[in-house]
Formats: sequence, structure tokens, C-alpha cells
Amino acid sequence: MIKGTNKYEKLAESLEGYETIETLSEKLKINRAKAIYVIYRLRKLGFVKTSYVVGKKRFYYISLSNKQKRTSYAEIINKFAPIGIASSNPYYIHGRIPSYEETLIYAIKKKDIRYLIASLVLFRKITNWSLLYNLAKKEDLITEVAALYEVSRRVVKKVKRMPKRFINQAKKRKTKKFKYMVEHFSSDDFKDIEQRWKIYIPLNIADLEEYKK
Amino acid sequence: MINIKQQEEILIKIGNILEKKIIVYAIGGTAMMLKSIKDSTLDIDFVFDKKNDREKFILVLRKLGAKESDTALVYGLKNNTPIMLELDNARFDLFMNKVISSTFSEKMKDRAKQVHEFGKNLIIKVADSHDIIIMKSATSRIKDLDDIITIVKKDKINWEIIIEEAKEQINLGNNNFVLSLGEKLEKLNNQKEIAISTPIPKTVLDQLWKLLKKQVKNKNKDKKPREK
Repeated sequence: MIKGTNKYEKLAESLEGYETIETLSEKLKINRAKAIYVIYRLRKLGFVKTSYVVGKKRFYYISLSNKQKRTSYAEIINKFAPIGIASSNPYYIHGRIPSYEETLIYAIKKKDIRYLIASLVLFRKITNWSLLYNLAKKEDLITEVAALYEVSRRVVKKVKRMPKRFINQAKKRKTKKFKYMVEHFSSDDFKDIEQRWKIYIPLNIADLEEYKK
Repeated sequence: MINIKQQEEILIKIGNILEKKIIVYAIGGTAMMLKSIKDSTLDIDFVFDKKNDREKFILVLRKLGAKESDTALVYGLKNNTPIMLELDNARFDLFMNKVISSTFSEKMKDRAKQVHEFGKNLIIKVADSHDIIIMKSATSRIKDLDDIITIVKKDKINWEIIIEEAKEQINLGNNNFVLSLGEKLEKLNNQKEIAISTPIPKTVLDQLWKLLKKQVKNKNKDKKPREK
């Protein structure tokens, strides 16, 4: 029989995934009190991350990887986004927590509509506009950031005003030729923004309904 | 032996010392740990694209106090052996594109979609589960068979990818690959836990057998008739 810490490591390995107290007690054929104790021991060893769903119900994510000091851009976006994104191959960062500015640039670089919708909320969290500008400049995404910012101002509440300096610098970067954010996708509802920044926005008002709730 | 946490701490240290961003591919046990399907490993296996990157990586390891260890003791006199360095409990096996008899092909690099950034400058792309199986099929260690069993049980395996990669490996000159892969998969199918839960489709083994026959046929064609 495996004893001590090793026993719980093996258990965490076999349980990998989401559990509730009920599913855990059913899986291990133990009573509720014992299931709570198992979660307590696993959490102490760093294998458990807790999330809450509707009705304050607790979901426990059990994984060996929880022991690591890692986060992913998707996790940061999901903290605030009205609809979360699930990624089968997330980009993990170990040993530091990336800034919201960096996360926003990553989301634009992904060229994925789900990422763009979810990341609009990050404009509410941006405080270091010069960092955002520098990161966008490095990736040649300044006009994309400016255009998405305007979309977020229309649909996301409490988005702070972008500094005039950012807007002026972005205007200088504008080209005559239209650019796609996501190949072949353009907007019916944000035509004015598209025209202003010469960027096709792959979003419509209907895609952003969740922000209005 | 090194566990997930120790591995993470070492890699963060390396990433923070590296002066420029470098990209490496994690294979074997390291890849399995980063995918959370294993909790410890004997060695940290990395494949490099550029010789320069490997040299920079070695320099950092030496700065941290790593010592070179004898490759022949572990890999014998095989070709394409890695540069091996030991740091604390961990042994780093640093390969250049080729891993003993297999080649870390371009398709394998494309399939390595999970990315981990350690510290400021170390980017690790994790080999896909199919490719971990392929790499582990080329060895004769018992623990590798155990690892393959773990992957097959935990991940959904598309055997078509493995057949396609077998063809690719033949094209890249790895002549023994199909034979050793076939042997490993036969062994795997004989394991009770795999035979019951996730048996390997018979068509896969048949396809590999066909590939092998084709290889033998081509080899015979290439042989010149003896002069009388």
C-alpha cells in the first residue's frame, strides 16, 4: 500500500480533472466528510484549484500541474471575460504573472475571434498605456489595438479613456490599405471604426451580447 | 529523479539567466510532466533546432554548476547521442534535431502546440503525445513501455498520425523505425490493461506490416545482382 504524501500524489494523478465533493465521494466510494478531507489533503500538497459556478457551488480542479507556479493567458482572460475561452493548448507562463497589456497583445496575435471577444474586457484593466503601445509597436498591432479599444468603449462598461498620445501615435501608423484582424472576417456593425483605422473588425454587436448583461 | 516543482524551479532559473529568447522542444518524460501525465522523470530531454541555442543553454547550465556526464555510459556508442549535463538531481539530455535513431521532423515541430515560457527567455514547446509515443518506441527500456501505456490510457490517440510519421521517418532515413514501432505496439497490445481499455486497432499493425514489407521489397530492388 502506498503511504503518506506519495499516496495523495498517486491519487491526484488518477483523479486529474474537475470534481465536486459529490463526484469525488462517488468515485472513491467514501462518504462526504471523508471526501472533504481528501480535498483538504490534496489542496495542502498544492494539487487543487477551486472555482465557483452558479449557486456558489465549488468545483475542484485536481492536477499534478497545479503544484507549479504557472498561469496561462487564457486563465487571465477568463478571470474577467463574460464568456470564458477553453484552449486545448494554452500558452503557459512560469515564474511570473503576465500583465494585462501583454495578455491583450497575445489575444490579438492569436487571430481567433473567441479570444478577441473575451479579451475586450481587458481594456477595463489597462493602466500602463505606454507599455501597451510599446508591445503593440513591437508586434505591429497599434492600429488593431486602437480599433478594438473603440469597440470595447461601445460594449464594455467602465473602460477608461485612452490617452490622446496613444491615439495620435496610432493615427500616424494608419495605412491606406485595409488590414484583416482575422482573415476574411469583417464587421457589419462597426463600419465607422473599420473606416477610421483601416482595419477589418471580425465582430458584430450580436457577438458581444454577453457584455450587455 | 526530479519532480514537477524541482523541474520548474531549475527551468525558471535557466530562463532568467539566458540573455536572448531561445526555443527548445521537450520530449520524453519532461514533455509528459509538462502535460501533467507524469510526476517525475530521470532526465530532462530537450531537442534543439540551432546549434547556437544549445551552446547558450549549456553555458547557462555550467554557470549554475552543472557538470558534464559520460554519454557512452547511458547511450553506448549509438549515433546522434545528446550532450549530457548533470545539475542537482537532474540530468539534462540535449539533442540536436536527431534523437538517437529518430529524427525530430518538421511535422513533429508543427504538432508541438503546447508552449511553456520559463523565466524571461526560455520557451519550451512540448512534443505532441503521438510524437512522445514515436520517440519512446525507438528505445528498448521497460520504463518507456510503461510511459507509452500511460499516454495511451490518458490521451486520445489518432493512430493514423503515427502511421504517417512512420512513413516520414522512413523517408528521413530511419530504416529500423517501422520494425521497432511494430514490436513496441505488439507488446503494448499484449498488456492486459491496454487490451481491455484501449486496444490498438488491428488495421494499424497491418499497415505497419505492409510498410515493412514495402521497405524490404525496395531494399531488394536496390541490391545489384552479383557478378558471375
